[in-house]
Amino acid sequence: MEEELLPIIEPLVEKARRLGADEVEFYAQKEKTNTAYVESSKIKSAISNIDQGIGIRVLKNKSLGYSCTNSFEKRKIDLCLDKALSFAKITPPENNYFLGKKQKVPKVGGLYDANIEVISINDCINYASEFIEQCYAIDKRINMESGAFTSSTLTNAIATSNDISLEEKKTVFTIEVGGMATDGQNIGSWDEEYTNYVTMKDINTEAIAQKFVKKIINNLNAMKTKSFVGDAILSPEVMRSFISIITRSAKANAIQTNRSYLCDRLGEKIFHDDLTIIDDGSLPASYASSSFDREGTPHKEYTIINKGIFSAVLYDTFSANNDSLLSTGHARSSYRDLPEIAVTNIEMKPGRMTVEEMISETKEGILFNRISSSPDPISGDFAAVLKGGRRIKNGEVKETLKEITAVGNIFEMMNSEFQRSKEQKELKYFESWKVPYIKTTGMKYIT
Amino acid sequence: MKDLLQKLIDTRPDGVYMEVRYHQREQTDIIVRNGKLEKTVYDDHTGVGVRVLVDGAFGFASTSSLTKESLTKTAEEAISAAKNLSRKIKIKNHLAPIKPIVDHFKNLGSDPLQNHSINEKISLIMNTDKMIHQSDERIKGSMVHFREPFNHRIILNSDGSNAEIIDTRPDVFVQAIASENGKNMAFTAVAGITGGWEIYTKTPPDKLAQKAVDMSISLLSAPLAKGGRQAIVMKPDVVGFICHEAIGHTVESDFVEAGSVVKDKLNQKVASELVTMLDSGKQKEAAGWLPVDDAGVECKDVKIIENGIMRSFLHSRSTAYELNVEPGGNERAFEFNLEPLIRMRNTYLEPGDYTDEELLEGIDFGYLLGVPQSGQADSTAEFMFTVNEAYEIRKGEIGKLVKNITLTGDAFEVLSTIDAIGKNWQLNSGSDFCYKWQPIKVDGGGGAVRTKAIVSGE
Repeated sequence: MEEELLPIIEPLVEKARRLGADEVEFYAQKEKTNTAYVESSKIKSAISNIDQGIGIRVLKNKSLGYSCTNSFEKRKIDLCLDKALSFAKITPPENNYFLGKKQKVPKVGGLYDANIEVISINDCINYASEFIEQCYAIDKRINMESGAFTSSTLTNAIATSNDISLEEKKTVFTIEVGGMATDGQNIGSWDEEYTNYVTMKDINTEAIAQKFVKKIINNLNAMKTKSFVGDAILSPEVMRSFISIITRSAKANAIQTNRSYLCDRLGEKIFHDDLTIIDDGSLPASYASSSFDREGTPHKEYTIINKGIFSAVLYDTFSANNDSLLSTGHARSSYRDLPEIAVTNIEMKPGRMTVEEMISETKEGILFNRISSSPDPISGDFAAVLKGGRRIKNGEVKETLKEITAVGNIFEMMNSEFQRSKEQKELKYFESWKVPYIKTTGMKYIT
Repeated sequence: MKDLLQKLIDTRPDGVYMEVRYHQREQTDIIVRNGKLEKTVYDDHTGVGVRVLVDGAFGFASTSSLTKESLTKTAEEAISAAKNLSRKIKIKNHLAPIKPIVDHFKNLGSDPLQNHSINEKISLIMNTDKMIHQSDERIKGSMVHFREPFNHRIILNSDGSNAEIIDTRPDVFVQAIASENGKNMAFTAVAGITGGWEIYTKTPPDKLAQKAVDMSISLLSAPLAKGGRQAIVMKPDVVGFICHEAIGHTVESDFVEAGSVVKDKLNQKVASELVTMLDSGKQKEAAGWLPVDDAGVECKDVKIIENGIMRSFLHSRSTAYELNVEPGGNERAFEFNLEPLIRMRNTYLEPGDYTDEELLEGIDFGYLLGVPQSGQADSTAEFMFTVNEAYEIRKGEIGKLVKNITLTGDAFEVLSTIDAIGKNWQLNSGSDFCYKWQPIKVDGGGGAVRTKAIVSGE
């Protein structure tokens, strides 16, 4: 594959050293996107964009400077390098500030499809148009408040003073839609559906239309109820937001700065035996994968929680240096910011029950669809407003509920008895989440 | 640059409406965590976005290369995209007429940020962080973040608008994490304005630090609230949140067209007659200050609710055309490479006559809600937001602090139940961003209000 960005940034490494940098990292990106943007169930605009730029991380006497520009013009890059160097001259030094060493980087397959790269603005318009028709064919009561159908070709490249020199091109087609159903004066709660495809042959607007319409139609006719205590069956969407609190707690920077529930607990049994969470940035054919992370470190599989035991801390280079370890390849960010620790492809292991069995064994409870909540990442406390939650009574799914809040603690919930469905849903965006339904008991519902 | 942009407009093909927007956005972020300077980042994001309307269809393209050739190619791409789309759509877009605006605006505050060196800022931020750590042995974590964006926009359209806006919109975030007996509680004190160094003099970081320390420690022993429908008094910060999240988003015309709960509510009673709610770009120190929007429309006050009656939605030029109303300047884009969307500016309730004490009078039991954290709205007007600082009210007196309050309910029911609005008016919700496909700076506030809503808790 022809290199686009390395010829721009590789010569800059030596230049930065000549100007006084002890260590330097250039990270360049170029992303070409075509988007059909939908508003109020109509295609409102067609958008064609190129975003490109360079981020420069400089170390001088272990002091750090970072600067970025969205231009490849020499004048702008020179200014940007000057700025990074000037910051590195005035910031206090830190012992853990040194860049990672060159490693063997195996290529992750299935990240580029030439057929996606050539998806034109016209094709995006056609996909959007087809999707709107498919939704209306299923149910005319739907309203697509907004949506975007985007093809993207992204090239990432990194060149460092430690001889790391890598470039990778990825393609993806993304569908994001949000909206609600209306039936006369009856207005349902807003909901969304999104996914992405890394191969052209997998693009399936019909499947997303089916899921989207089912969700928002279910939200119609919502009724108020009284406060009660009962079971809860949490959808993969809800579980994703809860599990993300756990994966966030496993990040080294959170642990090292006392912002994590998992501080000093590596190897400890913290959660129930049935909780196993894996992250693997080397999975083929996933947009969240890449051959190397934001610092040029290869990805591999890590079991973060193994049968309830906290088994892996997620590191980038600087946080790993703090613990005298190597990075686990979890650095991520665009060229516009310093690397931050982030997960890639998360899987929560499934169980043996079907969702249907979970429901049939529930005497009284709620099937969660979506929550509106800001759980506290440090304490795990949450108070979640249920959106499109459906009452379960004597094993059957009944009416949709509104104005109801569930209160609890994520960490305690995951340390108690719970059931997992055998079905998992893949929620794919910048990160990918493969998550089952979870059933728990004793949830307090407040109205 | 202005000449290049004007030339692009002057040479556009016949039948093409064109907006050209140059936006230089430079941002410096400085973050200290636990005594360590974690981040000093400078981000320069500059370029030109071109939006066109061709045969009823919008096309948009952008470039970071500012040569004549690149700008011409970008305009051609936008026109080509619009032409492709125009062949596919049945319902065409039209633009409401506007009076072109030709002017320039500058809002760098009374003491521009550029007058202060990076060393001075690093010193201030390090001292603030140090203060948090030295304040109490239960403090185990800290974070101080200064975010200083500089914006230079030149906005031209083929209807004759030619505006230039230069501003800075700094934010400051100060967090303390307290820990005791295995329990951790965090509190983040924030401020955000349009202006300059006065953010650090009017809301001094050391005061924010003290607030974060006191609150995080107090929250360690704070009980949960009593769940259920309760009497509440919302301070201006929380009122700003409810105006923005619960009402403001439902009246954005793109959302209205899609079927939001307010669709048929124009000129109907939706709130207590005490309630008058506006969206405005005029308040110069507020984070949502805006004289001209990104479509080249002069910003005007939009009276959303007047004495309890819904009067107006927030419009783009195309949605204003459909309802035959005047656009108020609500089309905004975060950066040059993003298409303008309908967004709020400063959204607030007009003040009432009550003192803070009078607002508490007559409440046997309820909650005083001080500092919101985050929130979301829904098409049904059901809102949710978390409140970081909330106190019990018992027999008209402020009582103990409670933790983890989430407030929910139907926004219009909550507004209809308002029986008192405070005279102490503030716009104070300007920190961080509102997200709707892209981030944007907004603000909110009002007088404090007394009403009822569902409170999560025991």
